[in-house]
Amino acid sequence: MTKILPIGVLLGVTAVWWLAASGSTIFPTPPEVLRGIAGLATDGTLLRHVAASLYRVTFGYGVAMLLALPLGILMGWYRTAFTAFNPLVQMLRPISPIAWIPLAILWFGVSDLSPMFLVFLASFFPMVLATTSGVQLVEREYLWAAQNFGITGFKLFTHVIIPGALPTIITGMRVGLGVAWLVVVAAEMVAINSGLGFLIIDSRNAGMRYDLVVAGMVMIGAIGLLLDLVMRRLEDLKEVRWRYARGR
Amino acid sequence: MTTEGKRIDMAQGMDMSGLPMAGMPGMTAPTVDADSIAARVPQIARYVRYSGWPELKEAMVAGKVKAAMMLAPMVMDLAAKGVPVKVVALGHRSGAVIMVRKEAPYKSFADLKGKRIAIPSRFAVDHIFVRKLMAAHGLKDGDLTMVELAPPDMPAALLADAVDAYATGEPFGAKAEMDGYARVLYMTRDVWPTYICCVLAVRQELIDQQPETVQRLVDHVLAAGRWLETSPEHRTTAARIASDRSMFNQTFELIKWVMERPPDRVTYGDLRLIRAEFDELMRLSLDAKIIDRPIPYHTYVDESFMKHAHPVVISPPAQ
Repeated sequence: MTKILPIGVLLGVTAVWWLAASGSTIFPTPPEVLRGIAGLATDGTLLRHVAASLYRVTFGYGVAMLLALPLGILMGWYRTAFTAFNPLVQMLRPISPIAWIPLAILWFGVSDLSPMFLVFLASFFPMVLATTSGVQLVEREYLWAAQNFGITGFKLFTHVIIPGALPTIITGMRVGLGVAWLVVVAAEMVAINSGLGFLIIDSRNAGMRYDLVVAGMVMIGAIGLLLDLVMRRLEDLKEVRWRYARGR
Repeated sequence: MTTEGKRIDMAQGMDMSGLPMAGMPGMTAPTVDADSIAARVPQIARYVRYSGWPELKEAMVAGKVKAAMMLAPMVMDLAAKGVPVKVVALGHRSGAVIMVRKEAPYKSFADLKGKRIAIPSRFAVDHIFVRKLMAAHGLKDGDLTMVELAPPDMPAALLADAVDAYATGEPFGAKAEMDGYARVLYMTRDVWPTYICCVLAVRQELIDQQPETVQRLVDHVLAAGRWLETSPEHRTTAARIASDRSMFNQTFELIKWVMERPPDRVTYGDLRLIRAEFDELMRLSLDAKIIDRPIPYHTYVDESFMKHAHPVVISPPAQ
């Protein structure tokens, strides 16, 4: 049942898509998109686009995680850090990466660094937010218990606060990764000749290659799904599992 | 105002019959318009500005826009793939530039070998311009790295040394020139004066159902072009009108620069549809892989409106 249900939903959506796209000049049908993907796969460009996007997203997201988690922990634990940084974080958070493009070009030029920077910006803030609230929501009882056992300082962080916040942090990491892929099209407006986002932009610039536009969308979706499956494995760790009232 | 006392806008947009017409911001197209009297007098169409070619193309393909100033190869490709659109007139000639940093040592295109040059997209006519220069200076594929960038981002990219040169339609070349850090390496006026970039494309149903509207559109585009070429003052007036927020939303000084330095940086006087030129452009597009097969002239051009054109006399409102 757990296998049939999602496949059934996907097939249903594909059928609706097929019906809706028949007779449309712009919107391609599923077989046209499949042919588009097959065409890209045979000439080797599909792999190049996927690899380029994976590389940029992984790097941008990775750096975002490395910086967001410590900052979030600081902001969650120290009132002063929260007061100092929260307004800035909230101000920068809603700005679309597209608006950052001119600055990205100015700072990083036209290279892989620009799209990486845009992915970094987009995924950094949701992770800061989740980590901050994760730390803030660690129950008082755990802290009291830790005090009774005389646990303080660094050990308090590693043994109580971080484990306590971990379920929320992991949810934030999942959201961050989703956002990282969400902005890949915008980020790869400044990419040279590769990437799934570039594929979509390039195919829109071409005359009538909307099959490749949707092919890019399908590929991003598929990779997003795969990566989320991996991320959800993290939630199965016993360090995280304790927080879940309902199983999956 | 026209001789009949009716108010008409040029080229990139107008309104009267709920006929939306699209054009690119800041792109080189003849423009004679002001919004002040727009409410008082009937217009041919409503002007809609799109910020990118794909958006404009999609609106045209979907039939939401009936007439547009579009890239010529784009119209060829759409027509060849069954979208009912036809070129009925040119928008302008020339108007593309290759820009480099002011202090850069490059004297000829050959000096750009091994360098990075930005183009708007590989489907843009500027790409063809670059390829033509490459061929003329003995550069081969791979001798240049072409980077696709949105034209508004090009000046910044050049300033930041992210690229060594860029090719684009105006006013994004003049922008960097005016700001003092870039110079023109090539203008189409010098090496390819008959260069065709934007053409007036209309959907077939408009041609079939309202041929008189299309004829008026063509008449006024031609009139605007002729008017622009009759006096330098007209170019200044046009710059003032086009700089309006509702039009190009670029500064008056910038458009004036494009219009006047030199006056044939972009030309509007000869908007004839010449088959040999389109065939050459088609061949170059094929060579640049912008289109994937030869497209016969009559698939995408309807000459009838140019043949019956009667340019009206234009006298835009005093500024």
